[in-house]
Amino acid sequence: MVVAVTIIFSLIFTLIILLLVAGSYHRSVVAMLGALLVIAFGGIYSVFFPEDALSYIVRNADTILLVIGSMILCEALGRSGLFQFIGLSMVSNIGKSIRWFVAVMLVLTVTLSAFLNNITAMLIIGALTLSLERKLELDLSKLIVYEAIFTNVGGLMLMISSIPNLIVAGEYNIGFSRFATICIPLVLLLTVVSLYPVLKQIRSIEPFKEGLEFDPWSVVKDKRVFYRASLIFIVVMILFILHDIFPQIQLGLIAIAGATAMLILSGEEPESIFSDIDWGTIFFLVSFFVIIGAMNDPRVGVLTSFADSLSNVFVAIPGLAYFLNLWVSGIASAFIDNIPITITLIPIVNSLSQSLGLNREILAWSMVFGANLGGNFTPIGSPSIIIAMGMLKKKGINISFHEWIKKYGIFPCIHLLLATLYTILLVVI
Amino acid sequence: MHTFTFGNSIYNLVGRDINLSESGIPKKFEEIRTEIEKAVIPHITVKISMPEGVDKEEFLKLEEDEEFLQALGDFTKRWLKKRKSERI
Repeated sequence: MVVAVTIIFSLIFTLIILLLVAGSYHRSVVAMLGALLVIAFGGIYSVFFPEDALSYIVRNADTILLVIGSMILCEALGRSGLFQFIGLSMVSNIGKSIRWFVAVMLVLTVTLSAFLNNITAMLIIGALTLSLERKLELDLSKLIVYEAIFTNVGGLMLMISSIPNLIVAGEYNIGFSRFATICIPLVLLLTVVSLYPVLKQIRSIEPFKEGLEFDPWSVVKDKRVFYRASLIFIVVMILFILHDIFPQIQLGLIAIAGATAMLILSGEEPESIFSDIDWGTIFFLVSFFVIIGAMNDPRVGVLTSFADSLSNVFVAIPGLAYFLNLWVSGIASAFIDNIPITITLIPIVNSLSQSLGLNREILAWSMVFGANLGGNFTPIGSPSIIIAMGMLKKKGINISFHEWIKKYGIFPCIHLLLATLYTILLVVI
Repeated sequence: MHTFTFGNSIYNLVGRDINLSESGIPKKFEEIRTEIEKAVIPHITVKISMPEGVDKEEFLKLEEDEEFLQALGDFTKRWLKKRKSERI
């Protein structure tokens, strides 16, 4: 009976993963179908019930609230013009050097994606690049590609930079400061290393004929709203940092409180902000928590038996699990959304750390590094790359799958290698 | 050969994904782009109704007519200069 249940649930899980890879249906629909299937078959075999599904959602409520709160905050902040203002301020008056301009644009990309989700960061930086392209009468298509790659580097920087970061921080109770302390040095290293080949390519290009001068305030519709939104954002960041000292203040609650303050003070219609929230991701997240909750349930035993088999493989060299975790999550992220990868790997990581006596947090870091950086392997690996490809397509430029891997595949390889070395450093320290 | 087919089939998804995201992303992008473009290349959008007695097709083409746009730009300069001198 137990074997039959494990086989049936394994088949359901495989079906869900295949549907996610195929991309034939929206990921939220696939996850909702998966959640319904595990509840239905769980009921038939009396191993998993709707109340179990609810308990998995409640267990992850803080992460879900954190994601919703961050989305509302970012949406309202984006409308206040804060990030557009930062972008224009950084690029304005930078002189006539193209190398300096490209370096500033890429550093700006990393900065924006640290505070915003990668989609919004790419939309802002892409819009800025295309506008500057018109002004400067230059072809900045290559820069758009590099920006897409750099958004995934920036997405590793802070706990709030990407959803996998939020999930891992919630699961392993990693605070905002701790997250930043571990990830910022790696992001700085990756940024510097990645900038080198990009800047080397443009050594021969002549400088701009005229400098870039414009008024960054022109993107701010209402200065009062701008100041209020900036203040709320700063307060939320301070509260996130304080969470490390006062862990009783839950991160999800801080994000929701910030979102509520933003909805009251931003001057925007809440209905209009809600309509721009990515509800699909939230439904996907909630449903996938149910699926993984069922798969990890000892009565179902899909992930537990998989983790046991993995433990047997790693028993000779347990330390190898850190690096395999990083590369598996990295390579899988090139083809599948990094959210399901992270949620799936968490119970496996927990089981491996227990059976092999490995450091849980370092396993979590290797998972975060892989999930964020692996998206750069393919043109479908991350939403920011897909958006960049869309922008290029509009300009009549098509980069094929093979061309992407050939030209830009070197970046994620270097990133994952450096992340591996960094993980070794974390293990040694 | 197999890899090629695999690669291409996944690549096709890229185009489809972009279409799927038409629900909000391209609209949001255009909004952000318009805002930023106004700061980088300051411009105004004016509505010119079709005058009586002109050919509709010919009139609609003016939107893309470089010479017409240049003439409008020159007119704008003259207009602003005149306004300024009147104020003084």
